[in-house]
Amino acid sequence: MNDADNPSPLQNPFIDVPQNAARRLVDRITKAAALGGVLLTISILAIIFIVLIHGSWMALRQIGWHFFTTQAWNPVPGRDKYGVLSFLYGTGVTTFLALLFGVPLSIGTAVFITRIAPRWLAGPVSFLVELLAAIPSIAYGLWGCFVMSPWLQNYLEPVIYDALRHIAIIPVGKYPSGRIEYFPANLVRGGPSGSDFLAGGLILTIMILPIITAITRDVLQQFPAEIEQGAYGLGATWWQTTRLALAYCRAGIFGAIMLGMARAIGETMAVIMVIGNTDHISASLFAGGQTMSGVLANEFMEADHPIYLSAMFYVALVLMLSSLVTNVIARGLLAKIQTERKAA
Amino acid sequence: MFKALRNGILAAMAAALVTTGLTTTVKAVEIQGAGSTFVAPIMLKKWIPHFMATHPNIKVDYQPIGSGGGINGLINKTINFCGSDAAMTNSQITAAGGHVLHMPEVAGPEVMSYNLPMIHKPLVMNGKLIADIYLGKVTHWNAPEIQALNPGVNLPDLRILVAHRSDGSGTTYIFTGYLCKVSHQWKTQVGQSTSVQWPVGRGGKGNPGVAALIDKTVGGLGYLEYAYAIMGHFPTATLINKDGFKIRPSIPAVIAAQKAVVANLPADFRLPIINPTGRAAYPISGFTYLIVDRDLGYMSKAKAKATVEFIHWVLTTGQKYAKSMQYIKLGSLMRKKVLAELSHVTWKGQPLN
Repeated sequence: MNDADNPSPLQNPFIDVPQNAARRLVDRITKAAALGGVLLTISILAIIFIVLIHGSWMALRQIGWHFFTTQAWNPVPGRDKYGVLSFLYGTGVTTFLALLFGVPLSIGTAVFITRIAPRWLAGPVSFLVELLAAIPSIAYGLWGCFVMSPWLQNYLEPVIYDALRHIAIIPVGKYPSGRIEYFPANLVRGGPSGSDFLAGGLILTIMILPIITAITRDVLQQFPAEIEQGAYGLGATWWQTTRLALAYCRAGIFGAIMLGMARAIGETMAVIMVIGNTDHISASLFAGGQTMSGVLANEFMEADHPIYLSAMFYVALVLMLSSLVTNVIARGLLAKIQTERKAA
Repeated sequence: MFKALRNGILAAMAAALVTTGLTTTVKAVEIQGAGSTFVAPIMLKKWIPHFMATHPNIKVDYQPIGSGGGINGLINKTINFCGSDAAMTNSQITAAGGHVLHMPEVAGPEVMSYNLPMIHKPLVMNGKLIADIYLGKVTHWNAPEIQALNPGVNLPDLRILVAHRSDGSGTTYIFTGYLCKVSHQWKTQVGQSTSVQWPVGRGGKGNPGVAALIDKTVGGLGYLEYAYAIMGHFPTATLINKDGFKIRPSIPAVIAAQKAVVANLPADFRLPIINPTGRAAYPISGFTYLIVDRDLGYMSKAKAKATVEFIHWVLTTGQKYAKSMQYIKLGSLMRKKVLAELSHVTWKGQPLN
């Protein structure tokens, strides 16, 4: 009886796993399934890379590194000249503008929702911002094309143009005519057009707002109440406490910005409706441009001869690699922030 | 004589196919087409529904993925027929096995549309002027080149905002082909393709994108498909044709242009109707084609028959739907030539009848 009351560990059914073949089988199947899932995910990524490299092989061999130093994009058969430089520039500039406008706006909104707004207001504001994420990208594009772009051209851009066109601070280059070009007047060269880098940047700003706001709001809500109380107890003002909260949550906020940036780099339809679609590189915010995803969406279906199609694959490869590089850099920075926080 | 006989047999067989199909086939034959977005409105709203209503044993599906996509589908043999606004190039034909048939189905003119609300009479333009504007040599609406063609018109001192297609398109192929014909500089500097390196201007996606660019700026100018411009009530320019006549874009003017080229048309129909001679001929239009392999041996015989039957129907009965959709049907001589071509389609070497 004594033995039955205190069963030895070997007889305990919860510890006696090795003797139970069925349980071992379940373990094995689960582990195998998990491994299979991982392998599948990795192999999908690998297959995408292989397909992109295979598709762009001809362009890789014929164009090679010149792809990154050539601005021209001329798909006329016989004249074929392909360079990704202007599209890299377009993706870079629109993403930069989107983050420049979008990050302060999103973080401000998140601070408002978590730390300023009364509860009855915070919910609806939160909901409305998240609703922006539910709008399909083509709807943004049509709105951008028919509403935002004419408005920019007729109202906002003329104001910026008149404000900056005569301000010459730093000489940055020469016009073909020999006249010297100055910053910041060069930012508005060409005058208002509504279909330009600024329009592309603004439409992306709206599109990355919800994701950065939602995640920043969530991480700010994790800011421990005891730290907040402590800060106030030490006599900190509201602003000082908010800065403390933002600093405390910086890793999360940084992650939110990275997700927003990923969306801005990859976004296609909305951008091509407003950016003007030209292969130019210009410092002017009012100049037309093109992004990497934009040129793919515009021209891939009609890429009708081998080197053209191969160059399109090359653009896709560069797009994928740039996302990868940004992700790796972001992860590195994130890891740095986290180790700093541990050290602090 | 022989061709006419074959034609007759084909028509009879096509008719017979409906009845035999109904009695012997339980499942409908499905054929798949893909390509041109230009032809999509009439294809999807008129031709396919009306054809399937009268041919219940055949199911036709058409994916408007772009002419280039359609041609790739034909090269890879993943579709039964392709719709394309540009004729296949020689290298594409080689890639597709060397033997394809181009059958024009409807013609599509292109118009120059502009946004100058202060001008109520249609502006007059010629090919050289259009090329110079697209080359960036003429930049303002009151330039002497424009004034010379429009005496007495009070042209504004406005910048011309040039709009073009940003997506690769047959419309651009035809338009740049016209510019090559009328401007040596365009031909040497830019050339003809579905996408080109535009010296000036902004790109809009599809006809709506170009129309939006024109519409939002006073001073905008761009090329649009005729059907789109007519349905959207966009102002269109009167063009001066090769023989110096002023031509408004219209259905009769495009039929006149077809007549002018039909005599010199190559046997495979790969010729756009660009800059034709004749006092009534509109200068910029092109055919949109249905393209199939000359031998349909890569698909089942039933599918091959259904494909030929559908194309035959489009070229005959289907033509009457063109006008209501603002397309331009084939002239009678043209149609006769195309039907003769269709009768040459075979299946594993056997004639399809």
